Amino acid sequence: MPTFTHGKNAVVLLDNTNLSTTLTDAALSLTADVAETSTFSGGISAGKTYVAGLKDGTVTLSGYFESTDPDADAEFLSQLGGSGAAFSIAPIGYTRGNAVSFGNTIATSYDRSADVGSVVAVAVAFQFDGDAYNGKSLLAPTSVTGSSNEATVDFGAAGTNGGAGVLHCTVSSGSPTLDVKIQTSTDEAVWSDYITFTQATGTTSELITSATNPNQYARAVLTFGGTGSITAAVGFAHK
Amino acid sequence: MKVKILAGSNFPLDKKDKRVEAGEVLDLPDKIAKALIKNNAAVKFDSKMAKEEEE
Repeated sequence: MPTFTHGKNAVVLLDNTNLSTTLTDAALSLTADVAETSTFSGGISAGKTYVAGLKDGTVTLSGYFESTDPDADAEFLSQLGGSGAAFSIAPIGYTRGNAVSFGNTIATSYDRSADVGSVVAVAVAFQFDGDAYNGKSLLAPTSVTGSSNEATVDFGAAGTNGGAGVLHCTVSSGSPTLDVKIQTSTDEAVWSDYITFTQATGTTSELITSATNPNQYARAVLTFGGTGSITAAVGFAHK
Repeated sequence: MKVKILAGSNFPLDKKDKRVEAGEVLDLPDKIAKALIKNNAAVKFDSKMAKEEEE
């Protein structure tokens, strides 16, 4: 029996901002080009034939205008004409093990609209720059105040074409430092570093890819220093 | 089994969480050494490698 999930728990993270509390719709569109290879005298096939080409992806978001907590307006404006930033979308929520799609995205449009009878609304569109990675959450947005080895997430099999990880740090207080690593394992006992993010000392985001093949099991390892807290989320994908 | 660590790793040893770093050469229990090799995080350290390191 299928288990359907309500869309109300979707989480959208852009760079160092958790946009979830301002959005009402989020749509991810992944596409792949095809090139036609049909020829004269195509043999027994009466249909056209194709080969797969390059993959592509876009994201459209809409919701309410907010410029304080979080300052989604500033985030959207800063992404327009920028070089891109880490983006993650978890359609059924960012709970560990849930599906997360992420990549580097460039904002292509940002619309604000005011209506006399309703809340000021926004709509924003993004283009993936490079691959869109489809994996799982290793850490839901969590206020981190100490070091920990997070629970294991099973990816079913080892990766065969490298992998990618994303870190979003969306809230910071005090003077914290946070070192985040993604480790993978074949047996859930012996863990080896796969991706090491740059030390976070405040709000930030980072997307790192690796050509090495990741093992079946993955976990996030958090090493906290300093004082205060950092709210962090981690996603990981096999390519 | 003697192995050379290629990627920083953690594993349980003597009921403690042991951390090893890339570049270290260690003599580890076979089960752990084999798991590290399977993780692509270590290679068996043989006499040829030892000689190369000496040079």
